[in-house]
Amino acid sequence: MIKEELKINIGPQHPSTHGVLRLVADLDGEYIKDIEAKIGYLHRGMEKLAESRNYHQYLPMVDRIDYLSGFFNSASFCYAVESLAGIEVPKRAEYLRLITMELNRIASHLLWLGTFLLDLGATSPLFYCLREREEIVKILENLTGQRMMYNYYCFGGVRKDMPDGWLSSVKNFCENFPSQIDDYEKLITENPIFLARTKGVGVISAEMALDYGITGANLRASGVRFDARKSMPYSVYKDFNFDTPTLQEGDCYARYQVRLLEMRESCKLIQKAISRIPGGASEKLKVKRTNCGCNKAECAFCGDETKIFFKKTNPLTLKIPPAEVTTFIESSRGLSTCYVRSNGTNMPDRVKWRTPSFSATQILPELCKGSLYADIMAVLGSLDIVLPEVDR
Amino acid sequence: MNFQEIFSRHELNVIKNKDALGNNILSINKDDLLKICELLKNDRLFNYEMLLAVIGIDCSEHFEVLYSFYSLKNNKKLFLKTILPKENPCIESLCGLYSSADWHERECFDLLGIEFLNHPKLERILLPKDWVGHPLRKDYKEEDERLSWNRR
Amino acid sequence: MYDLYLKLFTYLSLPKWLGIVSWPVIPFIGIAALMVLMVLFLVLLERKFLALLTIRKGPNRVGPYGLFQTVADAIKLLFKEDIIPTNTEKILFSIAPVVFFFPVMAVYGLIPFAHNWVAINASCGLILMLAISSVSILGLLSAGWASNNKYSILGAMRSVAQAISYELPLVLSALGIVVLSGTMNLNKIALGQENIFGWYIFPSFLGFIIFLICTLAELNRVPFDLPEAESELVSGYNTEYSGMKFALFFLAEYAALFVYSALIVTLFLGGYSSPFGGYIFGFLPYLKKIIFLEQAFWLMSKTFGIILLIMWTRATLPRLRADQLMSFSWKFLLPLSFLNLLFVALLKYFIG
Repeated sequence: MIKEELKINIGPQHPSTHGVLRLVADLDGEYIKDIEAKIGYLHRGMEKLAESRNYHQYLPMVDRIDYLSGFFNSASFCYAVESLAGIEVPKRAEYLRLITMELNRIASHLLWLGTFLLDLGATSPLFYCLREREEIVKILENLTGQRMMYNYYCFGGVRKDMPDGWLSSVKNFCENFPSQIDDYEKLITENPIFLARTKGVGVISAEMALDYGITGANLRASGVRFDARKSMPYSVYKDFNFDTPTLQEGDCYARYQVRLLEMRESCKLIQKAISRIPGGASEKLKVKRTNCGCNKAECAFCGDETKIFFKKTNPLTLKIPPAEVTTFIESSRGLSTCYVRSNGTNMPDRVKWRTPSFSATQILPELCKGSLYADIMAVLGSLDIVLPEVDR
Repeated sequence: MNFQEIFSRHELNVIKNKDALGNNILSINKDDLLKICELLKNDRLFNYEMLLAVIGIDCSEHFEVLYSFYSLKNNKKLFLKTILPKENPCIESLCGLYSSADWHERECFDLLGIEFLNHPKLERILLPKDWVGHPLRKDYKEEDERLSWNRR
Repeated sequence: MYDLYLKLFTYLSLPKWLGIVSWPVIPFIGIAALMVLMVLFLVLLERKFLALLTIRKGPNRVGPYGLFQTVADAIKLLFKEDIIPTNTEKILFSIAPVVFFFPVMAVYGLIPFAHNWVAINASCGLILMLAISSVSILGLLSAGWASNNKYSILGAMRSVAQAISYELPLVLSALGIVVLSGTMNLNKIALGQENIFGWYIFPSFLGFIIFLICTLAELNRVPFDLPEAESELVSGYNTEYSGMKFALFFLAEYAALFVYSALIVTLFLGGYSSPFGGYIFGFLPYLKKIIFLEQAFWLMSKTFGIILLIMWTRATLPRLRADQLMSFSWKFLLPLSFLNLLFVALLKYFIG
């Protein structure tokens, strides 16, 4: 019997891949002999566009680099420009940035969970996850006016303060959310078919992960406790005490569990931040400000801590002397860095994004060689790859 | 300042600068790159296990390549900067030491035209295989007919 | 009923031999009509039920509560262009859906809907049913082969391997029922289970579970739907089909769903007999003539219970991988079905 090899093309248009990724697989029956990932279908030239726009014009475009974690990209760019230009950010704005980033992390993980299970064949958890995500998106729409490309941060703080009643809606959400995660766990975590599909599949060892530059939940599931919020703290993360869940096995099941635990941690972090935000809820702050009226910098109601930006920056006059900086942010997929170089004008000289999904797509062919064809979907789903981040 | 001693022991020239957030940027010669990176990875003092990014920059008179390292054990960040000539920018590839350099260097080659010697498979990654030119260069003109719609 | 029918012919002043000849054809017309209605209803039921389980509403625009949705789908498929790709074996390509569909239709005649209301009262009805429904695997294989498409061949090969592996535990569990009831005639099997304590599910509970799992595998439903996994292989063996041929594959799957559920009900859950022993209609003398209506009602309600159970599994479980599917059948279900047979035989010998 002659054994022939089958060359199969998965994608770029495919009901399953999370974006336009093309995988060319050499199959031998059901086993994969070789697989190659071809990217570049979603290359929009984000880095080149920065060179012909000034900093304020580029800021709304930054959300679109990874549309599921828009706040994180915005944060990297804002922190970079703020450290280059020496702009200070008030405390209330930092707390708002923290709360919105953590809400975005939960929303991104929820969508990951739904699509991961859809790839494996279970069609109902997607709708439950989208129901939760809809609540978060409504909360963020109340705050920023937009459901996905938020454009909320500006250089020096955030654009506007939260509307009335927003803080209590976030509090309600955080109180209801852990029981919803318990529901998902009851349905999925002990399911024998799910265990058989994901346990022992796509194992990343710690050395391999460090060699390929994998960060985020993928790295934490392989036993390395690295979280940029703790190692390189930015915003007000150093004031908070939170866990980084780490597991040792490094297979798809471990990555699934790590992300579920991360969702719970984010929920607790948001609750702590809500109780400590300077000024409190905006309806009470407005009343207290009018009653107080002192306008002194140390006052708890009218002072510097309760402002949301100190000084608005002007797009025509924000000229930054030549310098370079790199900021490191823990986005929902891993470590996302932004390198900005200025040249004295109001346009950046070079902006470079190093995104976590780029490294995850690089390791995907290594994980799939030698395993079965149906494992590609499990591994691709569990690595949480979002293609716009890979191609920029 | 310890690495100044180690580098001078190995007869390597480095100049230390800092960026706006206080991270260390070392400017090195492009011929010393492989030796320095081997030191960074294997020496017990440094222990830089992760290569996070390879950034190519087009300053108008020369090219710069910036390498971003991170050490998990010591929680330290480091940047290496090399300067390449404008006419024939080529530099050694780090694929033997760090596997993550593979795709980052391909992207640098694709968008800026910097050649990496001894790279296993240096071809375009983000743009189509038959694209002419390197878009991220400052003197890049869009000459491809496929983009004629953009000029109207 | 026969005399009434002949009286109708004399009333309409048609020759009597026509009535005698056309009497056996009527059950088949009834079967065909029933099959079409069932498929129409089942497609809609699946979509609505799955929507209920995933906090959505199903189709609700076409007709009241979306009742005419399947009719609209059927009309759309009828009007679609019938594309035959160039490098295929044209004859095999066109025959494959037919070969897939007709065994399923033929098997409808073997289910007893009420006492003696079965189109083909064969004395070996059970084995005939299982054997005829296996013929549709040939249609599947030829569909995948004739499409000249890598994805179709992969899907067809997987599907055939799956269907053959899960036939064995299926037949062995059915054999347990034959041991319990002593006959292969489906009518008599249903008669033998008079009230709820006589249902064969209690002695051979393991057989019921195995039969249910194997049914899911035969019908290519989740968790065994790797051959038509949308996210992995586009559509498996029916990628290249469009229009009426695709409609035939689609129809055959839902028709087979009904037939297998009815078979489960007849074998394990008492068929058309009511759980109480006697029939409600049986107490009233003038309703005794139409007791078949009540028996058909019992059969239908139990069948729909099993169908809803199968759809419920679809909404809940993820998919099994190909090698796990195979090892599950050969290493787990087959020994268990032998155990079940042994247990049932011992039960019958000692208790009778």
